Amino acid sequence: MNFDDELPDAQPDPALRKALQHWPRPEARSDFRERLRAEFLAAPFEARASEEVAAQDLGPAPQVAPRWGEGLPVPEILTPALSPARRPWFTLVSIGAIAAAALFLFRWQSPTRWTVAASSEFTLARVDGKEFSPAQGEQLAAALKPGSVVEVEGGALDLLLDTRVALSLAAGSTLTLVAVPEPEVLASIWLDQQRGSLAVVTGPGFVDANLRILTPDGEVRVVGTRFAIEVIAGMGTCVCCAEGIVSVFDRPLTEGLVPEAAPEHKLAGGEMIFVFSDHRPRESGPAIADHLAPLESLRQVWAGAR
Amino acid sequence: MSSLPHRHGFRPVPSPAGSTSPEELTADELTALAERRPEALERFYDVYFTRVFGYVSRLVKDEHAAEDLTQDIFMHLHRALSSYDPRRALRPWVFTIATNKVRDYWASATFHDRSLNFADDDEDGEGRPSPRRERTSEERGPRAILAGAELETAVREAIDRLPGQLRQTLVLRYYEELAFEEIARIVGRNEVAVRKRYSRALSELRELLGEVHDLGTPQGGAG
Repeated sequence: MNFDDELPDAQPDPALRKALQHWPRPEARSDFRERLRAEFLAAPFEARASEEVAAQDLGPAPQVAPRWGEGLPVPEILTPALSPARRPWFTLVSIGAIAAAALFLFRWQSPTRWTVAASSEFTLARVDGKEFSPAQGEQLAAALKPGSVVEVEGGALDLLLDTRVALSLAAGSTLTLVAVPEPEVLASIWLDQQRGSLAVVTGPGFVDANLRILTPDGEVRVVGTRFAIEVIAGMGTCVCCAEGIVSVFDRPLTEGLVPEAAPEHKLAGGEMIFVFSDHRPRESGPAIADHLAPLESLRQVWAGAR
Repeated sequence: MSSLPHRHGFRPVPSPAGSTSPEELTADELTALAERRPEALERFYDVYFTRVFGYVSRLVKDEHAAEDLTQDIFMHLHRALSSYDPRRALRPWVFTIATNKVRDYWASATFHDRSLNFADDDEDGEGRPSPRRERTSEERGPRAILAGAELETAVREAIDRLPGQLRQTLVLRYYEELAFEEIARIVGRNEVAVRKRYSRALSELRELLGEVHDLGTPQGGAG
């Protein structure tokens, strides 16, 4: 049993520890335990599950938004058994119409390319003030637009921008999606992290893209890598790079400020830099293991995309 | 750099699947569990039934409600296993679902019907119902409890008097031995807030149990 307060001013209290140990774990009735065991192992829940699961909170395993292109009509009509009464031109026209409809649907859905990764464990997230539970991953992804403000109340929200970038936003974080690439128009991915912790892993589709992340204390520019940022209010911004090269600027390059005008530091894999809010000289050192830890699981989301 | 404030923050490395105590499922078992293989389901049930029932019972007190909730939780777990990632630690995942069910219960009419002593006493302004900690003249003091009842009863009653969120944090940390970081993700708050809750829970328990919580030598007298 754990008893350490783990707070600086906490004092061990053996007497209280001894007292708490006198409340053993409550035991269930054996008949209840066995009955539930039989039900659980026989898996009788499937039939009734479908009626309940949509309305319930699935905890840290959220509903996953459909993959890109999923949900489109299955083109079974493309290979029908031709009726003797139908003429070939009718079939060709039908094929063309269905293909056009499918293409229209595909393009109509294309602006929404955010998905909530299955690895997410958030308990509550907000997009532009609207709350989403883990069961509403698809709706959350659909609500993400350029300019949207994303806040995570609990757990970690893992977001994928098609195959370009994966973000893991920890509890207590706020991130603005300043700009994301429009369909078929290559542009910067530009994020503004106001507070909290963000882990980033670029994906196989990141080629030729670029990523800018503003923080209150600086800016991070990336050309394909894995790194993590933590904004500590009133203190500064910590950037830890696991792989690749990250450019860290002491100030956000907004309002016309060109990169040459702001001090830049190149951060390589395994390195860390801390940019202070009060513009003290930045500190650098080895990357912090705790900050890199989320990246290992986050990079796995690309395993099936390569 | 050791003075930087985030050295102990962010998200610590999650417990790697299969590398925990013998009571935890191995990596192979977790993979089988995600596929809902019978032997893995059986192992999962054997490992987690006692924990889940114990956790729920410590929070809801009412035995029938604890059984209903436990059944509901296992039904939910069974369904959710299809989306469970075996690379993720199992225990926080299970307790997140259990915690959500308990929250739902606390917010339900059933709970309010059964627990007249509970009200919307929001202990830290986070909008969750929690037990009202009333200290009327009729309340027995801790010394009286300790003098006149079993120690187990005294401890249980003291913990029952804690606001719901403090009780939840105490049970998850002390009895279920989850890390603060895991609890933070389960209850949807940051780690610092959870540490404060835990510290506050212990502080309130000390007060509730008085100076006599060394139960080897209970002291008499009114509290």
